[in-house]
Amino acid sequence: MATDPLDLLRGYLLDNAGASPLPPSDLPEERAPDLPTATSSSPAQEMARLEIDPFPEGSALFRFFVDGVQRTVPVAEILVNKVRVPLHLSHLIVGAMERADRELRPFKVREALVLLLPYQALQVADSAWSSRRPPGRELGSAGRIYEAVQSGKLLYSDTSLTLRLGSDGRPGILLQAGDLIRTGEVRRKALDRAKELLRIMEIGILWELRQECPENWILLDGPVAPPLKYGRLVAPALQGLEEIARPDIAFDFLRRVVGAVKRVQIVPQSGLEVALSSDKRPVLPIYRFGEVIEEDDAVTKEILSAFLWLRRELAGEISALWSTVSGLARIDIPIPAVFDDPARRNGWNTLDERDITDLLADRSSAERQRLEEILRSIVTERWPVPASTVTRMLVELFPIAETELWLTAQLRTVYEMRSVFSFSHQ
Amino acid sequence: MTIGRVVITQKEPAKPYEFWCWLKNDPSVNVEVGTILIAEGDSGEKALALVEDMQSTSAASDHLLDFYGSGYGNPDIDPPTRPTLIRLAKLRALYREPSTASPPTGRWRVRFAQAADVNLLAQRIPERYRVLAGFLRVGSDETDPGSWLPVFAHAQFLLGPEGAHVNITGATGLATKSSYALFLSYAVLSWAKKAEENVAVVLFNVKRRDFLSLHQLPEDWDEADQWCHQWAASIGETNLASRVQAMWKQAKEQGVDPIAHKFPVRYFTYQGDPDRSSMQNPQIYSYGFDDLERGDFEAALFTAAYSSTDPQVILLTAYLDAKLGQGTSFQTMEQDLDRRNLIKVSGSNEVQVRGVSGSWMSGVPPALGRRLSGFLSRASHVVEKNQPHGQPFSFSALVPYGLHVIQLYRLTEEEKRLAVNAVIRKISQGLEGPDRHIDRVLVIADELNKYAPSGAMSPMKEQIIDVVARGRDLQLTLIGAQQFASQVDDQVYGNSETKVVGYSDESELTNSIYKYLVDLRAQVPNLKKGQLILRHPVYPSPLIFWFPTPLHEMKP
Repeated sequence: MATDPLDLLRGYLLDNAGASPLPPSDLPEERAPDLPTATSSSPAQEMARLEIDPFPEGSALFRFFVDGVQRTVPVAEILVNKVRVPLHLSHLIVGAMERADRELRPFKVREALVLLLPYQALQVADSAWSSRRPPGRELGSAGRIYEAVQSGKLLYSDTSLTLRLGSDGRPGILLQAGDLIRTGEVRRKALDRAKELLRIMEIGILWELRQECPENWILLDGPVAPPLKYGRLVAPALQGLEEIARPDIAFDFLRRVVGAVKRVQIVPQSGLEVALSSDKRPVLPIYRFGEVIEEDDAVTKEILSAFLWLRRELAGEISALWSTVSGLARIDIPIPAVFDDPARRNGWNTLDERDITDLLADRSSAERQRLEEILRSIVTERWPVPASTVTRMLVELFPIAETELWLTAQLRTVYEMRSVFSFSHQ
Repeated sequence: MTIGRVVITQKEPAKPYEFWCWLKNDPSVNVEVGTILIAEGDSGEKALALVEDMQSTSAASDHLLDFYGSGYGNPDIDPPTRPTLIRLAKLRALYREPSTASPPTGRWRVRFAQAADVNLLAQRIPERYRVLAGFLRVGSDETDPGSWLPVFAHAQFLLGPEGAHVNITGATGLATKSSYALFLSYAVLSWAKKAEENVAVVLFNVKRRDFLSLHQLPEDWDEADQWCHQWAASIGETNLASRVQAMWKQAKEQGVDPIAHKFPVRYFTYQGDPDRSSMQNPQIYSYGFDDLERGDFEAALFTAAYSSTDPQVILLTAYLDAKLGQGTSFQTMEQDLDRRNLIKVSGSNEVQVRGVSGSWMSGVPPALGRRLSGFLSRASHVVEKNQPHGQPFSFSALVPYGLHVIQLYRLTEEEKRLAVNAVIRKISQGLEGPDRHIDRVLVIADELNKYAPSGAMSPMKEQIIDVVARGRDLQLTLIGAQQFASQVDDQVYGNSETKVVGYSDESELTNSIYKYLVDLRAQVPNLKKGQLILRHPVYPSPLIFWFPTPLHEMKP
């Protein structure tokens, strides 16, 4: 019979780390954090402007829908030099639903239970911690993280070290021993690490899908750009995905992936009047942002961003709507998804902005038609409306909402995670 | 195959005998109200449960979302993704293993019941007491006898001494109440043969020819199959044939085989019955003055609508004390009470009746006489007016394992009251006899509300209440039926430990006497032909079951 990772963890925390249990409670702030909606503007070049029928005909393009959910909670605390340091447990799940005959069904799911602790900082603070290495595999800068997730073993990650390697080939320091007294910072690093790991897992499952079904389209929940920087950490085969260091690898990875962004934080400096026009036929402006912006809602120049007032018909019905932009969705379309010519596999990232604009302006070009096909499909996905919060109802696509619902339902409860000490799991 | 999971949420908390499950989103998972499912925990816990109610739901909070979600109210929109629908089934546990009164504690797996599972239900009843009551449908192929699993009644609760009596409620005209009463009779007789108990069944035929052709059974099961197909075709429901055949095959497996058993059928009818030719060698029954007892007279003469007065009762009692067993006829009684034949008591306003001690106010004997005359004028089919004796039904006429049909159809209400009262009295007396040849009797009486109506008391009703109260000791079981149970006396209905409900009107079901049906009450107006709800003491909850059409009803 397989040992439950929580049992393994309980043994470590109690017998080895001398940790004290935290009372099982369900504090709202300890649930998976929801990012606030915010907007900032950035210089961006409008690449095209497409008018799409509000009720387009044609078959659905996307076969797979990918999302990830996580729950990270402090489960124990340890006393180091009279400082109480929280230890976090993160349950991370990524999954893909498949649509066949208009029905959604689970296709693939990967989950990880990760102990998050500032291990190196603890060792510096108290040398006794050198012999208290947590059980299971470490998720760290050495990479192969997705492989570790697939192993199903208990995992841990040192939140006092970065996942990315510095110029010296070593991970950077996130928390010093002296930072352990900054409980809020320790917690922030744990939550950040959980988010990073989730993105790594999303890249991992996307890569699995791309290999298994190379011609099928995937709609990812969220922006496409941010996870790319973790390519090396996912698997050696994806080394070069970050910063498109290997355009061939990025081409293969991106040519059937589109991202649906429901929390638009970055908008073009030139404004979005076109997208917010109340014309009956939606007009979608397509932008290319000129610089890489390192935020949660990162954009890069390898991504075409289409802005769509997704469910304009409902805006008047929802009184709680507090800003027009909150009804705006952004569709991240990687350039390889439109410029899908194998001949460009090694050089697509060097396409001149003018070339892109010209091709997208040419109604007969394959690129323009592909872009239209993608956007038509997105407009088709406006219906049905998912049951969600008021603002999400305006911008979330139904299959994505269903995928999230499916994954969230599999998350271990806060009580289950925090009661790691208090009862035995079956 | 697992088809769902028990769901325990704040909205749908689990109770010991009532909990919800969701079902796999697969059209081949054919679950409906009445289906029997099994819920199993990881530690071997098991609940055999009836689907009592079902719902389909979705994540959409209300119709607004659905309206908006269809292209802002565009019915022609066919979204690329079909919104997820979730089927929920409310389960009512019929059996728990291990036995416990605590709710499920986890997301137990749910699957269809199989033969071995339903045997769990039968284990509640020792094998020697199992009386086939009907069938539960557990498979999707209703033409397969294996899809029809027996549900048993406990003989000691059905026939006594632990409990007794059955009450069947259902709308008139659907041939369900009589048909089921007959099926149950076959089942009891089959059980009796195996148990070597001498049981007889007495059936009052109150409507049409419900029980007048019981002797007309097919020669063998091949012929029965032919009848079945022809009957199904004649009523325009050809798919019924294979279902009924499958249930009869299963009944045969359980030892209920009317063709092989050849239960003897005896008919008892009245003089001048136009349906006499339908019966096989009917015996004529009638009652003379000396064939009856005081209770019979009271039942015949006094009703709740026309209740007796004390002087009339005293006079009747005195008259019967003086004249019963003396070769008196009804005609003589009529003459004795005639004003012209009364003897005046000098110096008073009182009179005497010839041959009867005591005196009465002068108006009392003529009043009783008018009541008698009225009765006699409306009871000519079953009353021998001029002779002290007729040909009364007697306990000795009962044959072991026999079906005894007492014809009442077309009789007046007075005649029916007289006959029913006299027959039940004879059976009660016979069963109390020291050297009886019959151990138990089942009496099947439709239109029970006429004999034991709710409200005012009547002599007839008193006898029924007495029989029902003492039935479990007498070994007399009343299978009463009526269209509206709300119109039957509370004691009679309440003493029926086993209750059966067929298709009924919604207005009747609002009555609190149906509270025991819980959520199944809503299903009563949707019951199909051959489908009933059973409440039997050995089962914690009522269950929906099926029974096959009686063979004689399918005769071409």
